[in-house]
Amino acid sequence: MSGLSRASVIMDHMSKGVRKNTPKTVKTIKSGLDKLFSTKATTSKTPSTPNKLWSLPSRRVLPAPPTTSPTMNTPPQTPRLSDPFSLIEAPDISTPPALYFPHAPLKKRPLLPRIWDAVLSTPSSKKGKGRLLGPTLDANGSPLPLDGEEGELIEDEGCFDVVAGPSFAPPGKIDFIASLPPEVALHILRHLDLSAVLVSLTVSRYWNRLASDKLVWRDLFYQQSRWKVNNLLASRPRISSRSSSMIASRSSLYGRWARNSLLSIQSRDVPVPDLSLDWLQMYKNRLQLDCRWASAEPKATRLSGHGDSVYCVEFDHDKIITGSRDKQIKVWSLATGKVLATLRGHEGSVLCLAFESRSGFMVSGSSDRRVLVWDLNALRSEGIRPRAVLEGHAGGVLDLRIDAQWIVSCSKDATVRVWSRATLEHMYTLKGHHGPVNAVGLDAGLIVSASGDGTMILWDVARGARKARVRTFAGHERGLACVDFHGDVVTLTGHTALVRALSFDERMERLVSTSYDKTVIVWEIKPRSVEEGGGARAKQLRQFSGHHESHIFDVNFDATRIISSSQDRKIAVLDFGTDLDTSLFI
Amino acid sequence: MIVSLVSSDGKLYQVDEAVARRSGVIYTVLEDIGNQKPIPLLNVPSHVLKQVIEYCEYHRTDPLPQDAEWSGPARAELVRRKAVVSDWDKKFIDCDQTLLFEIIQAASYLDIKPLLDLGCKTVANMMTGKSVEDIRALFHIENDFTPEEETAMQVERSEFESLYNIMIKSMAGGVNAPVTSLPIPGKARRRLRAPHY
Repeated sequence: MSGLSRASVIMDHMSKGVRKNTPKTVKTIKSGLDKLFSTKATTSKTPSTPNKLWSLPSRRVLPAPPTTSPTMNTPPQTPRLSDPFSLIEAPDISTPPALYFPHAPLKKRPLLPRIWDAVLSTPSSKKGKGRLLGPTLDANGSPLPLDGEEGELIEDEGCFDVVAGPSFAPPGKIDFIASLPPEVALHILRHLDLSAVLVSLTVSRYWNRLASDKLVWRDLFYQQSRWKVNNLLASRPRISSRSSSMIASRSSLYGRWARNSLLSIQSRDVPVPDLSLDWLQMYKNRLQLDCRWASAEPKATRLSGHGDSVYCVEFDHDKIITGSRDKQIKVWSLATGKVLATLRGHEGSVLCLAFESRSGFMVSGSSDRRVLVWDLNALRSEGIRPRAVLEGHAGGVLDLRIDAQWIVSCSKDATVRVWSRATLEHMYTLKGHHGPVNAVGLDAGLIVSASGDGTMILWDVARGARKARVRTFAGHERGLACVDFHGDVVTLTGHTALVRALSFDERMERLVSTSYDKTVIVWEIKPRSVEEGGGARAKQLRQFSGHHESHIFDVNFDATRIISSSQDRKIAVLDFGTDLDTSLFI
Repeated sequence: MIVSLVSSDGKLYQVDEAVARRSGVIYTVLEDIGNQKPIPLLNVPSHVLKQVIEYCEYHRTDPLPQDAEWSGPARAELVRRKAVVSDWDKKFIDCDQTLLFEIIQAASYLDIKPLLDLGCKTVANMMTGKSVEDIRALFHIENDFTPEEETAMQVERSEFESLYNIMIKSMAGGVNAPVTSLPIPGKARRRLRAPHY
């Protein structure tokens, strides 16, 4: 586009002579121009060297916002609309923008021949009239595609119509995307769904450039409500292969006019993953990942290192943490599968653990009846000592959860204990179960505990220990082994043996469960609207087996992988993200 | 209070201040220098200004959009939620491409976000579900890709589309499982409705 619009400028200066001239003369002029252009290309990075050709407003087809309206009191901050255009287009001279889809093997057409095409072919606007050479034939006699090499001319008048906008086009037909300022054109594109954006990419070069803008693709990404981005990682500065959005990168140039305008607020939403990310590629990767979850076999890796059954596993974007019957906690690198550290401190099997990636806060519970508190930020390869010991349970600690405020532990002694996370003090003991409490869930200060007596109790911490019990759910015929709790409680059937562990992500609408039948099952859990009777709908999507030789004790998952641990002393990583950059997905 | 607006071709329009303030630009002008003399709108011809005023008259009581709504993921959310266009708006924006184009320009220049949104949405709707050729014909755009580029892009596009279809299909497939719901009392449930992300 940029090249084309410039063509119009050259046109004014040269068209008269060119049109009447023979090809030979044309070539001479062309080489002269070539020189001019190549000098410009090298100097274009220094804005202090003005060049008449380039500083001419290139797309003055349409009325621009006022330069200085007498009533508007803001002359210095209100640049002319045409100025930002020349500013963004300047860098394109040396590096013409690649076309997206980015992987397509594209032949770059040099700027000049394209201009040349336009100069020669436009005035008469009859296809092929400006052609100088007959089509080149290949060995088979079929025409080789023209690529804009010197002397070749391509029927390309389209560029001119695009530039000309409403005035040259047939009445009533306007190329909205090319004729409107880019930020407005982007606003149009941001209303499109994926298939319409994909079509837009292939309409013309200028459309391609706008429709591959990060703003468009970030919107598309966020329209997939199940897709999440690790904001913490994403807001870190990253080296990006593509320059940032056309709009965001120059919003400051618009001054006041832009600050009131629709797209200029980008810089203000601070913690949001920014436009330095390649959102088109992110979208594609995430899409591919979803497809692999749907049908592909994940790459399975088995990690060994523990000397006995691995009871629990948790992980985040860079590490896996496991607890074992060998009384050890091991921290593994997610990338390499190597053991980063071994933590010793428990005197019995490590049955459960929970940690928070951001703060490095970790708790672990053991059959030695104690809960140990760890600081992962201090992690060293030779291990660390626990920061604190929480004692009080009269039986093994079977499950643990943490949130910003609380540590909740449950035990074989039939109680649930609530500790303050800040002070590590014991706050409440919740009594009500008649059997060992096998699992707890914690969400927004509400606790669900599941017991071997077959009941599940919902507690509200805010009501104090004596009044905490909100409701008891009975209904399971046998003892409950596991629970995960985010907003709703549902029961599923599918495994053929005891369901030992499950992991649920409300946003992804996925639940992964595992069982003593050695299988891992992926479910889709969708909330049902009130009209449909509330509750949830569940579908079994995938089933994986053969990755463990014995009972599976624990399972966790994120957008990319499922990690399970087993009595066979192994940790199995099922990775769907092989060869994809999935580092920002959670 | 009456505000006087002058179109680019010199016609004078007098509108209520509440109506004029729908425009972010006029709002700023009124805040900065007050309502003293007619405001010249150098880029809005009278036949467009007439339409814009009609729109603002009709929407004079709508809440003014907040800046934050118009950026980032929140905006994507908004676009989805506000997909329904009112019948009046539909009828208002049902015009030929030239006028639609001019209305979008004016809405952008005058900073009237809902009108800009309406115009852009209308153009987006014109494009939705169309093939490349349809769009080129609709807006009179010439194909300026080389044949190789075009082939390469078609391949990429169909790859993208087939991925998307697999995803959609996977969401429709799967074996339904029996579910037992355990109701959580209303008060506790409301607490849980807070977003987790």
